[in-house]
Amino acid sequence: MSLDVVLFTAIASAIAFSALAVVFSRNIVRSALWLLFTLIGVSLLYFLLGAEFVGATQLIVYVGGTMVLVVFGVMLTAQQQFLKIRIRPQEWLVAGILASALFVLLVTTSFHLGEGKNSPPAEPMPGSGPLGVGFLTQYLLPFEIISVHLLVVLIGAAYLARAKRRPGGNRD
Amino acid sequence: MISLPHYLTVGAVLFVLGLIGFLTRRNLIVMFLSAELMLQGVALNFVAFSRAHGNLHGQVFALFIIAVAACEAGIALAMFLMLYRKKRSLDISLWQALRDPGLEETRDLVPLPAEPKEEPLPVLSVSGIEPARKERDHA
Repeated sequence: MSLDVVLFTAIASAIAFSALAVVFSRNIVRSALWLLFTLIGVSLLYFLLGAEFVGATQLIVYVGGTMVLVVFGVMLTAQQQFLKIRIRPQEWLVAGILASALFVLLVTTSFHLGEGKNSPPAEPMPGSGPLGVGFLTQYLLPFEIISVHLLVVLIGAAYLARAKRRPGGNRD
Repeated sequence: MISLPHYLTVGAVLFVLGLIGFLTRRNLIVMFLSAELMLQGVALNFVAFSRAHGNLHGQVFALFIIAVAACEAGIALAMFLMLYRKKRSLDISLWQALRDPGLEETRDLVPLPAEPKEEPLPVLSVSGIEPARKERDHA
């Protein structure tokens, strides 16, 4: 058993466990915290795949930025006691049947995909250098679009979440 | 040997768990977290395919997914904050104004249990008469 297999098994089972905990945890703060572990596990899988730049970006943007935002959102809105909304068993049944059917479909398709052609061991992934060149040449238009998109979202989020002043003078 | 289908399986697990969470939960924030799980599953698939084909396209897609998810998180949390200010709850069944015309509002068959009232904090009663204060001269 090579190191590759051991690492993959450990990381994949950690991801699956923490994803289960995200979905089935009753407390919102706890499920946000479990999502943090899932994201770290996915970034480790990126490193294992050889995509170092994507893994590092995942760690910085998701784990560092987005999760802090999510935890702040949870803390600002979830101070009420009534966090837990009961779920009826029928809903579990419908969602479980749908999800397991989709899972079986996806897994059989992916294993069928892999068995046909005995793909040669892929050469190491192009590193961050070709990626940067690609962003400035081949993918320049989507890169610019997404930067403008980020700006628009920044303004929109600040507009939505601002403290509104009422005529009476009290702030909401 | 770990190959493409194993990574695709992990992606499928993430996507399916996110789907279950999105379909069963009714709290806006938990639904948002489940949507993030689904995005992660898809991004993992992209990077695994990028590895299998030995080119950059999948990685670029994954990076764009990360950027769009960050945008989505920012705007979604701002909207949650706004909705929470209006109704003091994050139950999605309170927000049905955008449903199709002529469609009945979805209601719970079994009404939710009433939210327990918070008891007011105990206040100490005033004890006795306030003693008269003597002017002391510290001369």
